[in-house]
Amino acid sequence: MSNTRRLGSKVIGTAACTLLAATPAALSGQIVPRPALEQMDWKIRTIRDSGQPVVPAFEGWYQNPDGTYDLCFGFFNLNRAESLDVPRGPDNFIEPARFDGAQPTHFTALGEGRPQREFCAFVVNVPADIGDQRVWWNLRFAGRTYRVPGHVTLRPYMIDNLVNSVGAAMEEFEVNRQFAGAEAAPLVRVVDAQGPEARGKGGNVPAQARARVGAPLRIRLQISRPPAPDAAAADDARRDEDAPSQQSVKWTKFSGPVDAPVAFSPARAQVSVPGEHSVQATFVRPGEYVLLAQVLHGSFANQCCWTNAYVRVVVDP
Amino acid sequence: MADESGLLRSTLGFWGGLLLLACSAPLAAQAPATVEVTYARDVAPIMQASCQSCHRPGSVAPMSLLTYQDARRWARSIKEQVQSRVMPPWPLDTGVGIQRFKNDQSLSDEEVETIVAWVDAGAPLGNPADMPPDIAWPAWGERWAYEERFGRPPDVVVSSPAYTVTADGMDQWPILPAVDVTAEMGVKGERWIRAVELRPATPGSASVFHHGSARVANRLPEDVYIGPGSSNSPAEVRDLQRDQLAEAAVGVEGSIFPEGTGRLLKEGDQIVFNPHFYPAKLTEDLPDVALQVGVWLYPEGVVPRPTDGDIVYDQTSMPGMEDAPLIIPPNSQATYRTSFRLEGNARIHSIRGHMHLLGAYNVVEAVYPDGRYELINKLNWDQRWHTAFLYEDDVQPLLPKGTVVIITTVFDNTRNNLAAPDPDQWVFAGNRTVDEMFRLRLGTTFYSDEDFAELVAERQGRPVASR
Repeated sequence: MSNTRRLGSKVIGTAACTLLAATPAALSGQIVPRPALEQMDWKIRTIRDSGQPVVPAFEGWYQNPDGTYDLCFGFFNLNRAESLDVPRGPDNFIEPARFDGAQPTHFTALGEGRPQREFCAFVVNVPADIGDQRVWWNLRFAGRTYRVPGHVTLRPYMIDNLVNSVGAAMEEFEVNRQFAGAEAAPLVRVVDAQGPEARGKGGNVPAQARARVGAPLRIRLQISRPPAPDAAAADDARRDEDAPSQQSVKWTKFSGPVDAPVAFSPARAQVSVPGEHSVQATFVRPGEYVLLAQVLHGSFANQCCWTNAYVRVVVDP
Repeated sequence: MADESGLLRSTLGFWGGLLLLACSAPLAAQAPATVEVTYARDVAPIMQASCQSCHRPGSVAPMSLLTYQDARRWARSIKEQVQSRVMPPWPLDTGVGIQRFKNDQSLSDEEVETIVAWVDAGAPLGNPADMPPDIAWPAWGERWAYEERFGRPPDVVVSSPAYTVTADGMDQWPILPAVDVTAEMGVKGERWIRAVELRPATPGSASVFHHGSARVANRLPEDVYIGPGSSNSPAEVRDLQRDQLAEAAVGVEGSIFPEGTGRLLKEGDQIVFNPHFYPAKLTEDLPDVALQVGVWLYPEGVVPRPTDGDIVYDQTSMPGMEDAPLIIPPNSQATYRTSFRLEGNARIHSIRGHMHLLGAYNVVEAVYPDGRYELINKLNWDQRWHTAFLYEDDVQPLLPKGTVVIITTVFDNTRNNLAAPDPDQWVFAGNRTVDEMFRLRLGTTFYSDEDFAELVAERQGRPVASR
């Protein structure tokens, strides 16, 4: 792990206590003497610039056409400025061990703005007969373990993968399609890798590239709508061709060498779909990397809909 | 998929989970001894007043309590439920804060003692001649909750387009197409709303109806009344509530605005329905589910004081919370404390918390500009009920400009919380039922300094938020 330090003990598992700056002036000596209040910082910050852990998240599950399930995991890096690298191993592992290996090793800093976790950055595919078995993702920071179980035993954790089910049910309401009816995980193809198209959180978008340290690598994504499920929807799709939808693309380093940030230009972009998106990735160290592009058509918070595209890059000195 | 039974109860049908636990055994015969309490004379009136509105065929409760035979069968459970104050549902700490409400459906100590004495005596019927006449309860959807209070059905009823709730177990938040109140309901000019009720209108849909709202979609921000002189509440708070017309959930039928206050309904208004369906136990699609909003109007020409209605204080997005997002660790409790300062003079006529499965309670406190402190209420959250507590007129908190309102919210993600679906999970803020929220709704009307001073004077020196 590139950066180990003790977790602020008051932050997780106890309380987040916030009083606004306006509060002290309004409080009187009945509560606490005014001078003491004015000298106090009432904020307990879960989010800090650095020194905090990464919290794992189980987002939910969905079933694949072949009967297997995908368990969706995300994470919340609680640091605004500090990205963390945690290689797979005793500080970053999935158990049972046969499911280990799908998880990220790089956890990008939050940056500015309202903090939000990384939704469903990867999935663990489990067999159809998984039953009530739990799959745990374990992360360790400063001697403390942060772990979360994925399982398929709770229907409220079932999520949409390819199509917003509410949207599908809303197709009858022509006027309302702008709200929900059109949300569907886009088809994504990494142009330069000559790979097939794929869609959904499973991210089965095989792509490989080579690059050199310091030399920007251009990666192009071809993004399109999924095929219409029926004739009526196809009519809608044709009608929409003159008004392509705006979808967002977000790039992060998913795994790779420790202390080796990847600079994306741009790291986030809006793209008209169908259309093409291009990013330049620049590396500072050689090694093997996996880059993740999340192409979103919907809402991360509502768990639908987007496609995870993983690009494997070998970087030479 | 493995069995999920027992982890999440449906939103409405929870009585079964509570009552069936302890009530399946028939009541053991016990000697009446010297107890005078009988069902016919003493208990039946309580059952009619406090239980039967839900415990009757076709309503939300899983068993009927319309007859003596019904009540005797469930007597032991009834005793447990009323003694523990689980039923009738009134999720409020009765030991602190304001205690006088218009919709208080809790039993008095004497009523609880009566029921307990009746059960302990072997649940005797007594003299049938003492039995009060049966109440002719209306069928589902036949009568509105506020109908009796106003002596008439709503003046305007707006129905949403029908929606098919799909039986896939996922949360569903359809935003249904707008309904024009003029084209569909003939509303002309400007009319003022005295009360508004929202309900799932389709038989059988109550079991999947988590909550829902009706909004006036066409209202522009500048049209939205936020109270006399009130550039007060934070901008994001105003944005949240600016077009809200009504919200309903289990325990909340809608809003009755204080006498003399109201909200505006205008010709051409577009009503948009946004229900949250939670079909966790739905095995087949439920088609043609519609919502209805019923509106009771002030007489034509009457212009009341505009009220802000429910102002939603979302702790997640409050200033100062940028570095403290809602994160609830596994197998632990989490406490969040936020505050805001009122920049206008507020009269609070209702209070309601909102969390999901992990909510434990809210404490709402006020620190007045002159330094006095008051605990307004402690709301014990029960995810099966979304009770809005409607203050009696003479105890409605009067919070002057500059008052700091402090909200403390506690979540319980441990196995002590039977509603927690999986205490091993990290839980974050979000819309899904398995995500969490922490919001406080305060039914609010803002007053000018002069009008507010009159209100305060009417309290004759009693504390501003008098109990």
